[in-house]
Amino acid sequence: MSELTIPPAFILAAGALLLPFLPKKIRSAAFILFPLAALILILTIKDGAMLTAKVMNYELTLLKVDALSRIFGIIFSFIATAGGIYAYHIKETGQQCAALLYVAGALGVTFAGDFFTLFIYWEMMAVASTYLIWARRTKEAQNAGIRYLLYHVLGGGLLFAGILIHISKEGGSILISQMKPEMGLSAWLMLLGVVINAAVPPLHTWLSDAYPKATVTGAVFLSAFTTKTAVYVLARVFPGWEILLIFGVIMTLYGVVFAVLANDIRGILAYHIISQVGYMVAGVGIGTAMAINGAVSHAFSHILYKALLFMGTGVVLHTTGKSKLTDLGGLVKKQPVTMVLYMVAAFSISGFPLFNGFISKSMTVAAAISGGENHEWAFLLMNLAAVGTFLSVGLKLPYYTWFSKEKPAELEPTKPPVNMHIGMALVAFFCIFHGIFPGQLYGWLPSPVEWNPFTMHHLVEVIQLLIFTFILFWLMRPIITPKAKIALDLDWLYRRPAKAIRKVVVDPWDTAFSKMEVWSIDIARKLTEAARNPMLPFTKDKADRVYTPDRYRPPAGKIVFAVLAIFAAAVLLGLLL
Amino acid sequence: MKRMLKMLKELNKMQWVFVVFLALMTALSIVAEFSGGHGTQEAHETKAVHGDAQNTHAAQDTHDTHAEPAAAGSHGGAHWWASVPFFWIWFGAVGCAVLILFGKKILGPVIYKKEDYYNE
Repeated sequence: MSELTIPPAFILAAGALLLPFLPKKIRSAAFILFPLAALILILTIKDGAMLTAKVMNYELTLLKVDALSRIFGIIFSFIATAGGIYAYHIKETGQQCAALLYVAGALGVTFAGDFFTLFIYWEMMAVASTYLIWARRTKEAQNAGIRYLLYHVLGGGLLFAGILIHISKEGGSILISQMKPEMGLSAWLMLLGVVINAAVPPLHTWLSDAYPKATVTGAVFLSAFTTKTAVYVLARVFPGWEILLIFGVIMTLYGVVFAVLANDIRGILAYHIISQVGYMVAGVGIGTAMAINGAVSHAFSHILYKALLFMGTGVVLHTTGKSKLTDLGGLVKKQPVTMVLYMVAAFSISGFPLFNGFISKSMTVAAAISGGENHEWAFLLMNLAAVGTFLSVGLKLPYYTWFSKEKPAELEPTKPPVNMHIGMALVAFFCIFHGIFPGQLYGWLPSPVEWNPFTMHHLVEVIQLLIFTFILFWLMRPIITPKAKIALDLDWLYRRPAKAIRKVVVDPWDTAFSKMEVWSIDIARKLTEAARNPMLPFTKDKADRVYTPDRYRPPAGKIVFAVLAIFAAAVLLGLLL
Repeated sequence: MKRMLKMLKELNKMQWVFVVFLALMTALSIVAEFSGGHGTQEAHETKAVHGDAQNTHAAQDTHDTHAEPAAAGSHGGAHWWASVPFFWIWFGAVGCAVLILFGKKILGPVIYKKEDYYNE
């Protein structure tokens, strides 16, 4: 184990600062090397390593390593490395810097030992990730990015308000510690701030709105960090809050129902982030060691297969320029490698035996009815969500993208850069590796694991669920066929009335300020003119705008007359007095 | 039923292999379900293990991890659905149908709009 106590976030932040100054030829390689260096550091740094710094009156803990932070650090830096390989062909420095800064934020939150440090990195993530949406450079992406940023500013504000109230209380400390519901306003504000990042409905719309509009690379990075960092903070600070179990189960189903309706391939995956994060939130809500292990291992697996899913759909978008199921189909012969690698992720998220989703999701779901817990409703509803996951991500999306032939025009995709497939293959390898050898992942979990997913009971359950989901999908294809429409979500509540609100609240002020601007410019113009020729108001010739002394100088006779008149008046006044 | 038969008639060789594979897997899973691998007895045994091993809310700060063992074995056998024959078959089929019908037939007509609805 390493004696180095450099926060891994520093490496990524330094990378983001240095990258623009590196020669263009090596920038893409450096983009991979910085997260790789962070990964090596995280794998070798000692448990219990700490780094503190005194800032004003506060001692900030910039680095604190334990099993929980290490496992999140490992997967964050690994997926950033794989994402770097996938995006090797991208030569846009802005996007690369934003991605590195985003990962730095995620690692900073993960290894922060105090709330202030956590908050600073939290905000860094929000700003850097917004750029990954804007970098698509479409009007839709620009608007979605603004809504995304506003949501995260709100979340950050709530989190910071909670932190300030918490530390101002008697005995309040800036050190990160567990919160209890009875701790009052501070704890609830902090929870609210965190669940916005976890995309808990009804505060989830930033995700389903923005992720499908991000750049191809941006979506891969976005899928991995924001929600999972929130899961980390929930596991760290809010384990055992029963409200999280309820909302977690709602999330699992909310995501799958909207994914059934979605037409955009990345929109389907975005809704399935909400669904999958629901399992993690529910696990944290159950709060037993098994459930926390389940939530953490599922976050680990999810980052792998979700990034792979976004990579697969990213290749489709990159090579065809299309992302709607109604515009896609029949690509299997043209993109067999992409399809196979995508299916590895689809089998993983669906919980197929021998894929990583099987070994992590099952632990979270089983925790609902194990170890003294008896949330049968949660167990069954989470299994129902698993059915929906296979239905949309494992069947609907691949079928209508690669297999269905009912399309008006034959697509001619371009050849994807080879690095895209290498990045995908690397992630796919670990999806299968952890599915076959779960011991590696289980060994990194916060608590010792005795869970064995490969029991006959579990295998029977999963096989029957998956087979009959497939059969029903096949029979009900005419109903589930995608439509070239959008499904309204709760963002309708603020997007639809936005025009009316603008008319009532913004437009009058906008008009008033515009008019005032015109008036002030007009007044300034008139004053300038008057200054150029103060005699202008007194002359008949308005065209003569520039003052010339000779033109306005009165005749000498008039002056003499005036002087004499004044003199005579003075003399007369003197005589009279 | 007629539609199902029509679908089966339209299958090619590869698809038939896949259908046979699915049927085989289903049959195997049913055999496993009723041959003791999925019985109440096993579940009771594992429940005992659970009771000892897995414990308590993660009440202590997760900074101090590596606490108690986190779980063992299987799950679900001791619950009411264990006595329902082919429960997971029904659950998968009905669950899938419910999700599709609820999404497409109930929610869809209400929330489906034209793609330029927000006019961006």
